[in-house]
Amino acid sequence: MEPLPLRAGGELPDIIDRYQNMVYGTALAKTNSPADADDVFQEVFLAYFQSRKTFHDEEHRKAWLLRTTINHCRRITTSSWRRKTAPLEEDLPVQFREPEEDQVWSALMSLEDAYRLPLYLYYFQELSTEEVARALSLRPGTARMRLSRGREKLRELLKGDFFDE
Amino acid sequence: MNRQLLSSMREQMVPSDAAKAALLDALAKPRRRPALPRYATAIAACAVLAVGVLGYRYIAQPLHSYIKWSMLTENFHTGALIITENDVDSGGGEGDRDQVMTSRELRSAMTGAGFSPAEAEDYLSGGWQMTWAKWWKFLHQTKDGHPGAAAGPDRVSLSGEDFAQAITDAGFSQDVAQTCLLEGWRADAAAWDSFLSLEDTSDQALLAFHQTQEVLRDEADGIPIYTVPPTMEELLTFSQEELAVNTGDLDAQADQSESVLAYQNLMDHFAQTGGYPDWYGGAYIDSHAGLVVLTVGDQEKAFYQQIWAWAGSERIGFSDAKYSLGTLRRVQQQAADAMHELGLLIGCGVNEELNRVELHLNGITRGAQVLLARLDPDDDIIQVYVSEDTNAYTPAPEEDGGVQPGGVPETPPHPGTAPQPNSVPEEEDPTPTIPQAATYDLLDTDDEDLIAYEPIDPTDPTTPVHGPYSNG
Repeated sequence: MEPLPLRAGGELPDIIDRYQNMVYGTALAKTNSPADADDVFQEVFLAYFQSRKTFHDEEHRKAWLLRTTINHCRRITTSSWRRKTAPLEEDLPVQFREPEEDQVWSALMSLEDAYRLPLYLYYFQELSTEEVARALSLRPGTARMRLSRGREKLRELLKGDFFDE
Repeated sequence: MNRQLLSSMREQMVPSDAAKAALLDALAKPRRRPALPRYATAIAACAVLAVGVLGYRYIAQPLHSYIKWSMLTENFHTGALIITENDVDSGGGEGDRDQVMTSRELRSAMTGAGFSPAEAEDYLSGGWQMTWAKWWKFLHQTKDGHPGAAAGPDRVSLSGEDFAQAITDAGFSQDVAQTCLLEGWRADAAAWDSFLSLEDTSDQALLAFHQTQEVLRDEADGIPIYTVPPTMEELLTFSQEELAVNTGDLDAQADQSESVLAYQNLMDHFAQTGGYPDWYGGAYIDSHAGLVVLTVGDQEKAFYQQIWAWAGSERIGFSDAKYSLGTLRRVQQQAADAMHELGLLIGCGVNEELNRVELHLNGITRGAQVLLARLDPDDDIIQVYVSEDTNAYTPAPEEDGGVQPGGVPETPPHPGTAPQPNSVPEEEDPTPTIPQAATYDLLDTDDEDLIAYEPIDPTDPTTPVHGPYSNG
């Protein structure tokens, strides 16, 4: 992978290309709303480019983006405005190309918040348990426990399909 | 899970073209600079805040915690060789928790399990070496052992916004309250009341309380069901069966000569290389006569292999420490000097196993507590024991000069006597610093409202024990 400048602000399209999946996907997993995920995507990258931060390395940048994404999602999902208002139009559901992909996503989204995001980060973003714990401010043991319980719940919901092991 | 499927799904998770276009538009616009009056207002607000905070701190100095100790003579000289059971036990599925619990964590966890603060203090004064793994094991054991353990409807639980509000009201940060809300924390109301009486508003304490509550809760049907709280008798029985206490006794069967030799080799290496390195947090011999070396910060596997090479033995276990031995020695010196000047010092030693300085005083004053709080802002590097018997001091026994891992003997309060290390290296680093792991400043966003947590805690005590004695 081509190294990018560690100072936020340069190589704008490259940064977006590299991390848009992570930022948007995490926001989608957290909010389960494409519209909200789009909002988070914009806000995170705006914050990134306006921060003018200099990162230690690529992992630092990735961790920063991930953390900022989760923080923005929290702000959106817990805002009093959101809790006290109802949208005029129903948000479009997340749709994938294949039916089994929709099935997996629905199962994931039906899990409690505590399990959903760790599972998403572990399986979809391929983060290690340590990284999951760090991103979600959990103790490593707690992250492992949630992954383990979440995996079991997911396995029950999907009746064991889609699991390699 | 099926990697191909996940990969395909991940590729489809891209923002809409409209969102991308809007983002590029927004980025193309020049940033508005805040008008001068806004700067002036912000600076004035900061100044008022700073004056307020500094003024408050000046008036209300933080105080250091301490433990009253009535059996000082029986437990005084335990610092030189402290033995604890160090078997890794994954009790309760929390395999990475085999770290000795700090007194703060144990206190919070005990109140979380339904013990009263007074009971927690009593238990703490017994010197039991409780680890996280053993604690989970105890909770699971008592949970399973109680017939009809599920509590009746008379036990009230706190959850949702009520619990978050209670957390805020108790003085914890908004971030923790928000986490409670988002993660659906629940707690037994009686246990919560008991926890509040500790008046410890650190996130660490709340987390220990929450973790204990989580273990106690049966989540099978999603309804919080609490076990009957364990009794003190059960805890003491469990402790007698499972835990070691700071008796200084070694397993009679264990041969510690290899560990002592390894320790000697390690000390020789440090002596040759100019003193204790910043990563070295101390060492002790466990109940199986194995040497355990404490290291500060995350290290690679090769690093541990290097220590084995220096020590000339692979029979060395490793455990994580927050403070380097250099830092402990510096704090020991400062604390001993300060307390000596106040005429309060009985003794002061480094407990390498528990990675802290142990200070024995014949009394406590507010001024002493303020001084100690300055030396120990996190309240975890100095453990203060205050004797209720002012004549309890007895001189430290003569050392035979042999090298013995575990700690520095306590220092009697003779004028001009500074605490001396009992072993090599001779040259101490005069300016040791508290080691900082490589942390990423994730908080530095433009919008401070977004900050939910501290990013990385370099001294997170949940890091697993590595080495030949671990089972992980």
